[in-house]
Amino acid sequence: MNYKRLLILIRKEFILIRRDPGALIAIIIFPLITLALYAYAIELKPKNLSTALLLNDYSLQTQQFLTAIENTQYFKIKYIVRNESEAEDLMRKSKIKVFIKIPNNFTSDLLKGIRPEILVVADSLDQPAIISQAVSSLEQLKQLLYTDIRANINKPSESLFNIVIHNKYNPEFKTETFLIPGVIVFIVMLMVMQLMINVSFRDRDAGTYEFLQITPIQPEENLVSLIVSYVMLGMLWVTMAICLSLILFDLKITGSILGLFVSLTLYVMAETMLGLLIAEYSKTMLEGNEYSKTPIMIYIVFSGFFYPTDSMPSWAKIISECLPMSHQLRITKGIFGKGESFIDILPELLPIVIFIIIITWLFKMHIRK
Amino acid sequence: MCANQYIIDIENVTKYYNHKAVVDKVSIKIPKGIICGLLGPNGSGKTTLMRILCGLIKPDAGSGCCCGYDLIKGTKDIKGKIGYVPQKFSLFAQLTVYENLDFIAKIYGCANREKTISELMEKFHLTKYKDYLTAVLSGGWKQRLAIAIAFIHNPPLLVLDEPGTGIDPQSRYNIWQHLEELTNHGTSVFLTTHYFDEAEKCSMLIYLAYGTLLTTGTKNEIVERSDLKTICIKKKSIPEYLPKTLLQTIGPIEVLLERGDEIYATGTNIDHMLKEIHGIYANKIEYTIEQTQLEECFIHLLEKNNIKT
Repeated sequence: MNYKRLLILIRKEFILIRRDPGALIAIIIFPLITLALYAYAIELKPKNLSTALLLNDYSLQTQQFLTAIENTQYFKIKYIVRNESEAEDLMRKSKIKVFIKIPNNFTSDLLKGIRPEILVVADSLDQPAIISQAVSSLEQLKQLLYTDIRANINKPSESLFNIVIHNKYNPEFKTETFLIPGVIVFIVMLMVMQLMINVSFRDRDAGTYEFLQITPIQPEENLVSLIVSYVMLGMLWVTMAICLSLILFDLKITGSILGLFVSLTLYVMAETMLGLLIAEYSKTMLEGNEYSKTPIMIYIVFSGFFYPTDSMPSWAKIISECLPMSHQLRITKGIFGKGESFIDILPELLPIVIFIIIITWLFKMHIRK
Repeated sequence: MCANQYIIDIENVTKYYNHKAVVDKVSIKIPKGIICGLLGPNGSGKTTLMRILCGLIKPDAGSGCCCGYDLIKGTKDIKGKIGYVPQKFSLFAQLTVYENLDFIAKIYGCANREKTISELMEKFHLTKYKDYLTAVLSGGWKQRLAIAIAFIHNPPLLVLDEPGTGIDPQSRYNIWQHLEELTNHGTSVFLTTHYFDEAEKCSMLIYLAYGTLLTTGTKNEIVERSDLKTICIKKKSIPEYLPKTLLQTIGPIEVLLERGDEIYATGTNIDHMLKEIHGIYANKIEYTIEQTQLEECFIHLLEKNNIKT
């Protein structure tokens, strides 16, 4: 190897990198921003899990129990419900991860030494390990709370209440039950976004895009044909992936199949258009591919698939809510594991539709420019 | 719709990019049924002018018609009346020759599609390549296919961006035969080229340099108008002790070009040129007086207008 020539080649490469500021931003700046986002947003310990409380007994002792729960910082009581079905509804809609029920006679039983039972229902469909860790921490409270009462009734070492834990939707903690629907949503995003960038540059570099402009084809017809084709391709893959999951992993779709396919079509469309937008704002395919890594990294951090969004700071939760993948993950898991109907998923569909409208607007703005 | 006898008729057409006029007050009238060549140095605004004429971009100033439609209001109609062959092969590489023709025929809504396609394939000798992927065709065949596709809707105007670039002489010859045949049937052809042999085949020439129209007309008109005369000197006749570089010092020679074994000295005052040449080389060199070529005319035009390439 000729080292002098090697140095000349390396120098040339750096000149090329320097002359392409777009790619330089994509290669250096965006990953740095993402690194910062990772550092500030990700919390692997359970924290502030959305919790609903059914409090049937108001007393100093129940207040003590609730304060102790909140002091663990694992739980954040967001909803006070009137009955169990209300809590179930919230859990089905993924509004809460945990539901705690304090029974009617909790205080009197406690004082009498009859061990009352506190019911804790955990949504084990989403991040089951983290939720399980938080719920297990409640066991420690049995030893820490009510030492004065225990002394009075001469049971200083025994706990005065039981905690009954019920893992809902995925009681066996099957990994595939919570992982597969999320993986489908994640992979189809990667697939269509990357495909759109490559296809856009294929047409642009080959000159077919310019050639078609001189035919009666309108630019919007060309774009819509691209979007429709790749949405169809994405949906074909999604259908195959779902069928395979049902066969190989014994998963079941307990909710609306129509809802699942409508939402996935809108989601695939949103990601296809995001890919198209990235290509539109990029000068080269290298730049486009580098730019596309940023939304992918954002999805990994903020969508709730890899890391729990409950534990994130509020600004990170806002970002999470803006991402179509966050909503699609909830829809897919909800339909697979919680039996959600088409009506149930409508509130989650709206942000995806808004995302499509914004991307279309940004695209039009750039085309006009 | 504007009705006149010209396929292209534009007046003071101007286009700015970043406040700089890339096409500056260009006025041209191209009669129907001829081959018109647009020449000019790289970056002289040829492609921009072509895009304006094709209705792809609108001029910032000026007016005119292409194929009978207004350049500003009728861009959609213009597109329907033009067959366009870009410089770079822009068809779908993973479609076969037939599929490409069929796709474009469907886009234009051609009646008797099958018949039109088979006639075109016959005309452009593409039948034997019918089922070939266009990706595997040679440059010359790709260009033939591109012209066939541009002609699929029988447009009155065929616009070609450097049709001869990057293809072998035999293919270029075949393509020109096709173009001449098309004009014989009434189609107008408007093309850009850098080749002077191609330019000489055009019935009308337009020379554009950095946005400015320098000249238009037939080859003979341009040469006559230039008032240039050329002396062709045999290189072998130049003595070794009097190098050919001395020709560069002769003031009246305005353009000096070498072609093979000959040197072409061009200027407006032939007597003065000959006197100076004789002064240096005495009677030792062999020369002939020849008709000035387009290349010399265009170089002279650039220098006369103080345009540096």
